[in-house]
Order: sequence, then structure tokens, then C-alpha cells
Amino acid sequence: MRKRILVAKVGLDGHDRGAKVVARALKNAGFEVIYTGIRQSPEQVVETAIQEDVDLIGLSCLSGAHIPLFRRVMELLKEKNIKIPVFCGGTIPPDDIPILKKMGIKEVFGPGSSLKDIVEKVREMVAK
Amino acid sequence: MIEKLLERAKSGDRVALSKLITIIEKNSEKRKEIIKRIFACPAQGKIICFTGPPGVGKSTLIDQVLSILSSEGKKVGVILVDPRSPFTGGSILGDRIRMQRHATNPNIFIRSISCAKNPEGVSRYVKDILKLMSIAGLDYIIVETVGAGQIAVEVSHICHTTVLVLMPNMGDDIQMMKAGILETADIYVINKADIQGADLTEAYLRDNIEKRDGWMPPIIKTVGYNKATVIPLVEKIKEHLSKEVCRYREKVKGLLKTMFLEYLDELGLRFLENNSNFEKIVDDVSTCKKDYYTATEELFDMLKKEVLKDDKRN
Repeated sequence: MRKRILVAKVGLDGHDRGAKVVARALKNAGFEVIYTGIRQSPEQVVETAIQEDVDLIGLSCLSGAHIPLFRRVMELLKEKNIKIPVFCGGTIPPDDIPILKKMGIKEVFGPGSSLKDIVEKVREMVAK
Repeated sequence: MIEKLLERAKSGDRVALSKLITIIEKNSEKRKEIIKRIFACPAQGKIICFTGPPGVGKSTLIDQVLSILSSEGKKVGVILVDPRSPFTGGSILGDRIRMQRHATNPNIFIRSISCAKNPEGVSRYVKDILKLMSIAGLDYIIVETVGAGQIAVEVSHICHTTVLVLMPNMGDDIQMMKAGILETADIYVINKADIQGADLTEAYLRDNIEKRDGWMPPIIKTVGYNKATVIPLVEKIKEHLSKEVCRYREKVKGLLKTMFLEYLDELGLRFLENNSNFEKIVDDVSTCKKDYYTATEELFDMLKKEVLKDDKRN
């Protein structure tokens, strides 16, 4: 069974190039990618993850609002007792990485991340 | 575990429904178990199929249908089938992007599925997922598939109503006359009808549609982003659903035929893979010692003997 990954952009930002490039790389690596596109609310992301029964959630944000938005996603997952690992990417300052990891986000991929590295880490995350 | 999940799914628990769909996708033995358990349950969910070539606007139409049905308080499940790469096995399931505004609506459940490009076009277990959803407290189940022709024939066996979506300028009357595509749908939609050429497409289509089983398939022109144009489509779907029952037995017959042939297909492939004589026969045919009709008959005789042998052992 192919592993299923949700790729979603939260918040009010339309910069979807990165999310699309990552989605395509994951498809080429043999994953099933459910792509929901831009301007998703944390509630939409979590509800979609439940209905699609995904193995991993990938969040993208380039607006600068990643901390409150990703935090809300993590809270909703906890409230609904859904145990799906989460990784994220976007224009994320290095200082924010420890904060995101503390929320329970498994991996953070900032600007300049290599696709090879992302695919490798994703394989590790869904294998657990 | 399946028993418990089924109880929860029947009472409308979407986490349970989602988990059961995953089980159907993953495990062919448990898949059969689920179907055997639920088959006699009363199925209240009516299954509607949207089919048609890529890019004609099926997902966008479904999005409008969802907002119309949910405003009536109806519960709707959606299954979106997208192709899987034959090279990497990966896929991008992007149909639901058109209907994400319904993601948090408690009356709507949307699930994406990838399918290999097998001759049927639809993953063999899509019918099982639809069957499961029909007992999960939903009023309607909508399935979206790419493709037409043979694929549409296959899908029509499992659906109460099949909607074929086309758009203007897709081809002239000769294209419309080709067998397959136009013979299966119950309702025809020309979407993007605000594009020039919609009337001509409608005229070509009208010349090639005939009354079947007392139902004259209607042609409806829609504009995906304009909800008002989709309301007549929803009305026609409901009208067809209310008259459909009489053809149910016929569809079951078609489905059983397809399933039986699939079964034979698998049996035959397994037999060839495990048959030590097969390579020898290939040699004989490739060196013209034997013709391929004789070879096929010999293989079938061997298969018959093997099946009989198995029977005695049981």
C-alpha cells in the first residue's frame, strides 16, 4: 500500500510553488499525494487528513504566520486524538525551528532545502 | 475490529469510515470480509457517477452539486479517482482542491483514491468502497472517474445514475457516433457552456442519443462556477434516481459478468505463471511447430484438468 501524504498551505498566502514542487517530488518518489492547494484553514487541513486517512501531513507557509497557524493544526490533531506526524516548509527563520519542533513538528525545511533530502526524511517519517 | 468499525461507520462516524476505506484499499481478504458482512444491510445511499475526459470540469460541477445538496440538509459522500503513475506508482490526487470549501462541512465526506491504469480504469475495489459508503448513513454517494468508453461501461454497473460531462468543441458528429462513450450515460452535461460552440456540441449530441429503458437521457448545459446552471442538473439526477430501480437487476447481471471474467483472468494468469509446459509451448509456436489456436486449446485443456484435480482434492 502506497503511503499517503497531505500537502497543504495554511493561511492567507498564495505562494504555492514550493508546495507544488515538493508534491511533485513526492509523487515521483512513489507516494500518493493529496494536494489541497492554497488558503486552507487549520480546521480544513485536519478534517481533510481524517477523511483521507493520510500517513503524513506536510504544511507550507510563506506568510510569516507559521507559528500560530501550525500551532492550531497541532492543537486540533491533539484535540481529536489523531496521531499523524507533521512536517513543514516555507520561509521559516532558523530561530523558529526549535519552537516548531517543540510543538511536535517532526521536520522543518526552510529555503534551499534539497528535494532529495526532503524525500529521504519523508521516507523515514512514514516508516515509523 | 472490523465489526466495531462498521458499527461506528453505520452511525455516521467518519474516522471509522475513513479507516474502513483504507482497509479496503490495503487488504484484499479483509475487503471481502467487509463486503460479506454489509451486503445484506439496507443501502440508503444512492450512487451517482460523474465521468468524462480530463479538464471538462467534473470536480467543479461536483463542488456545486455538493453545495446544493448540503443546503437541503442531505449527507453526501464523494470518492474521487485519479490516475496513478505506471512508472513510479506515485500520484497527485488533486480533485478535491475544487471542493475544499466543503472540507469542514459535517454532512460531507470526501475521499481521494488513486487507480492504476488497468483496462477497467477503475480500481477493482472502488465498487467495494461505494458499497461501504452506501450503508454509512449517507443520502448520496458521488464518484468521479476519468475516462470514458469501456471505463464508463464498467462504472455504470455500480452506479444508480451516470452523468457524462463534456464541453464545447470536443469533436464533431463522427466522434459522437463512436461506440461506447454515449451508450452508457443517463444524463449528459455540456459544461463550460459559456464558450462558443456549445449549441453545436449539443446538436451533435442530440442526434446520437436514444431512449433507453423508457428514459430519454437529457442534455444539460452548465457553467461550473455558476450555481444556478447546476440546479437543473441536480433536479434531473433526482428524477432519474426515482425511476432507476427497474434496471437494478440488469446492472447486477453486468457486474457479476465483469467480476466473473476478472476472476477467470486472474486464475488464468496464475495458471500460466505456474505452468511448466508454458515455455515449451511458446517455443513450439515461435518455431511454427504449432499454431497459436492449437496451443491455446491445449493450454485450456490443461487448465480444465487442473481445476478438476483441485475439485477432487477439496
